[in-house]
Amino acid sequence: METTTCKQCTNFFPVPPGADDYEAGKADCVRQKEDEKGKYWLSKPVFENSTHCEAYCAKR
Amino acid sequence: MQAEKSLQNQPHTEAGTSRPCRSCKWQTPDPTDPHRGQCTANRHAMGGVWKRWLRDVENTTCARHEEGKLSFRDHV
Amino acid sequence: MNDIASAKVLEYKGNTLRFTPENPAEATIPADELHEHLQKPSTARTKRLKERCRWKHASAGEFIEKSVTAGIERMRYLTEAHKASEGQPEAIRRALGLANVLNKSTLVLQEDEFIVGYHAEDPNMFPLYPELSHMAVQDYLRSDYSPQPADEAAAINEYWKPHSLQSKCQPYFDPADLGRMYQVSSMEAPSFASGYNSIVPPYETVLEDGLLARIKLAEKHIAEAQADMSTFPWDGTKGLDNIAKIDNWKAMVIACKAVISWARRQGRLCKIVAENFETDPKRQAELLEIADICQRIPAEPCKGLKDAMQAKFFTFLICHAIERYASGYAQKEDTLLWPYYKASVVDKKFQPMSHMDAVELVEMERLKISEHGAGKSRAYREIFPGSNDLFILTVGGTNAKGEDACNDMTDAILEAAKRIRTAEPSIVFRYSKKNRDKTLRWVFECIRDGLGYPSIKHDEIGTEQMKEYAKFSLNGNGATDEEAHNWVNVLCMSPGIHGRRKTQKTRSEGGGSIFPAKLLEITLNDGYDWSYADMQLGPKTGDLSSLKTFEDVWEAFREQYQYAINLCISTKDVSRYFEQRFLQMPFVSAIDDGCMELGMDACALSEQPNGWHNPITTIVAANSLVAIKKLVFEDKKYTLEQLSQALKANWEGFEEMRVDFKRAPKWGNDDDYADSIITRFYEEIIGGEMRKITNYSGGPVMPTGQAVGLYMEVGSRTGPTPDGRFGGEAADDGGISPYMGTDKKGPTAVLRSVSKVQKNQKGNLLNQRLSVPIMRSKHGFEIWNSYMKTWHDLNIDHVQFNVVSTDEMRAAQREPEKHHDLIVRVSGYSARFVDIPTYGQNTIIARQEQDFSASDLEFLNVEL
Repeated sequence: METTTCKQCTNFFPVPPGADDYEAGKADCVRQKEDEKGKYWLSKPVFENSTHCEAYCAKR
Repeated sequence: MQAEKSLQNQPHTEAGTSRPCRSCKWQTPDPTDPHRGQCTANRHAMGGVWKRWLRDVENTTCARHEEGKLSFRDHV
Repeated sequence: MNDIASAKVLEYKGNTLRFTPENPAEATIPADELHEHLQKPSTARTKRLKERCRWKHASAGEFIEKSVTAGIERMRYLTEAHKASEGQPEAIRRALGLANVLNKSTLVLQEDEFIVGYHAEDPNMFPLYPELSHMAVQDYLRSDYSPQPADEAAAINEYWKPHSLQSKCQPYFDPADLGRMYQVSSMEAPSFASGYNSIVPPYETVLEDGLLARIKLAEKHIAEAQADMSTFPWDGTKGLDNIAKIDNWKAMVIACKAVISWARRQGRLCKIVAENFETDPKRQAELLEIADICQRIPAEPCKGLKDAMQAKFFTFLICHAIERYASGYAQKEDTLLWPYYKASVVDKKFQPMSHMDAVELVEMERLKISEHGAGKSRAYREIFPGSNDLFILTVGGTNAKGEDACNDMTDAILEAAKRIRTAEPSIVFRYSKKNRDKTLRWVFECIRDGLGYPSIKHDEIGTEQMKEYAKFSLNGNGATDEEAHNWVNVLCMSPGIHGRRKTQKTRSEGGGSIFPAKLLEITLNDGYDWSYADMQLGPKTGDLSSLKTFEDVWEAFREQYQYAINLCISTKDVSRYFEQRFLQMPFVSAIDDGCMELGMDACALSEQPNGWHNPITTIVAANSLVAIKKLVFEDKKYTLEQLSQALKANWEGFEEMRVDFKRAPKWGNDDDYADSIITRFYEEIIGGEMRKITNYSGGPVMPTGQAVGLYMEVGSRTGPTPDGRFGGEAADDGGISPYMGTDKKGPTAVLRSVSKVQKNQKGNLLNQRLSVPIMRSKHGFEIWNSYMKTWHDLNIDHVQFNVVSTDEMRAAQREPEKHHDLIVRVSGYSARFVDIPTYGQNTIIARQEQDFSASDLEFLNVEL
């Protein structure tokens, strides 16, 4: 069975080569959230082969 | 008799009590040590809150025990 | 309900004075809702930011907004790094811990914000610090704000138990002594038990040099040290010093690189949101601008005001919340930002903007601080009711040449504070007669709007104090006469050096409290605390039969005080001993010129001694001594035994006696009988005994009398006292403020009393409540201005004002939801009135509202 990984998620933004924290396969997982106080965005380091989380949203 | 009644109204040791200070609405934790607590049941008519230190919030109780939690507005 | 306009008419110097509002539009505003009409955010953006501000105020130990909770990421990644780095030098382990937190933690960006950065994984969260006190974290685990998953948090706390500062320090003290301190009734708990800390970050090096330059410096020092070690002939008495230095410099490099990378990651988040989530072109452009700023700073020197604000905020987050917890927001903000204000607003050379753009930036900064969450222990969630933490910045005063230091940035800071109306950060204004009128008018505007700040400190007293402490410098490098002008309040009240080096880095230098009211109570009970803990709380200093004269009582108190203050300072110094071995601060060290030059950790290096400790509740003790002297030893109306009997009964059945003690002479009325005893108390015992102590830095420890919210906490833990106070009633609300409601002879009598205490003090907080109609009248500024000149001439250290009516406070008690903008001065900080427990609210209402009589105006020499 095929495993879905972070790389296939719409929240997956690869770290550009040359960045201080660049590593092969490393990316920022950026998610938009909203509560009664307003919108905000969270960014967490992930790797392309990490197993997807509950916020997974497949890229179109 | 009066002295005994007065004792019952103030926190006292009662090992294994089912009405421990820890669950009482008048209790608030100790500022530093989470094993201790503070009783805030003594309140003056002028609005003062005269606290008593509780050595062991699991094993002390008194006749004024009431389950619950007060709002921050009613504490100090 | 009263009108804002005062009905008062005063005959003064042949004129009839009427106190009509300076702003005629206020005549139509009901007095009990005045402060809901005063906010004027400078832009629609800051109005929105205020409306959605994620306040993290705590009161009575609880967070007020329901969504606030502890995060787990900082403790998780710190622990992961600590386990992985076993065996490495401790300074490097600390740097790797910081780097792991910064590299792996979740970043936050919120709608509308321009100054970016946060210190936890969600904007409703705050981090915890198990490496400091496991008891403080344990309290969170039992609370409604426990980090999740709770099992993981509990395991982390368990891991840190043997490694924490608390566990390192505790074995060197008698458990009985520590048990007394932990109660916070006669002494504040030591920092190793609470994790509480404070710092003055050397922001200047970050803004002026940038971190890449700091890395280069450290690498140069490492190369030189290694070269020194290989130079013939080897000298083991000196060469081995290089080892610790090399470790410290290496740790600085790791820390600075991690901070640069973290800031750039924040910039990348802004860019991703601009390009993938945001649809408004204007906001997209702004996010790309922020991304550019975060790419350049704090790596490089700042070039404009936006750069400086952002670099300052990143530095604040690291120094106060990520590398280690520290309360405070100490900085000389107008001096620090002036070069960047000039570049952007005056010269338009970089990030060109108008003065009002600068005001908007400051408003946004204030809102960022207002939603900053502090993972404080329960004691400190009780001690500052209504606030999230003590955030206090300093402006005004004089510069190194002794000239007026006010500039247009000072005015922007004050204007923003008036417009946005937030309780935090509080502002200290260093008052000098050289300060320009334009800025003084802004100071007054904030005060009369009821913000409770700026709090005013005497510029020359602070400067002279820095010079005096410099004489005790252990390495002969204390503040020069020029640098002595570079001082800010470290927290609420105590001056300390700001700048590129010589600043306070840890709480062990200054901070912490001692409570004379409780000490007096146990003095009358042979050191036993019958009213709160039912245990021996101090040394046995004699039962009542042995106290035959007033001097016997005095000396018994002195002994209780000596015991307590000695314990307070020794616990602080023992904390420092272990901080520099296990809690190094590589980032703070990297940005301090002294640590960089000498290869020392910031917790170890002390160049400018600045020892202080806060006596809180002094006036309850002092008024009690006056009453005892008069009624027991001079009038002989009562015996000490009778007094003790009445106190044990909480005056019940002794009402006539209570009234006698209540009516005994009180502080703050220019009453020579009371004032002579109380002045001696301050100068001989409170200050005199404290300054006999020498702390880690080699200087004396001096009293900085203040109150925070401890006047309430300690009041509730103190039984009835001989000043006529009932058990559990609040104590006095300032270091030298009269007891609430007892200063009945007018504002100038208070000043005359307070001016009598001059020796052996570092600072003393004076709270005054002024009449709203008078301050808002057309005569308000002139009266206040004359008051300030007189205050200055009387050589008084401090004063701060509440300008809030009883009507409005009562209205807010009835309908809190309608009074969110009502701010009051509690003690060294301001708070939203509705976020304070009723007990505390009542103490502010009970303060004497000072009116001005013709004789007061004459004493102040007001020209109207």
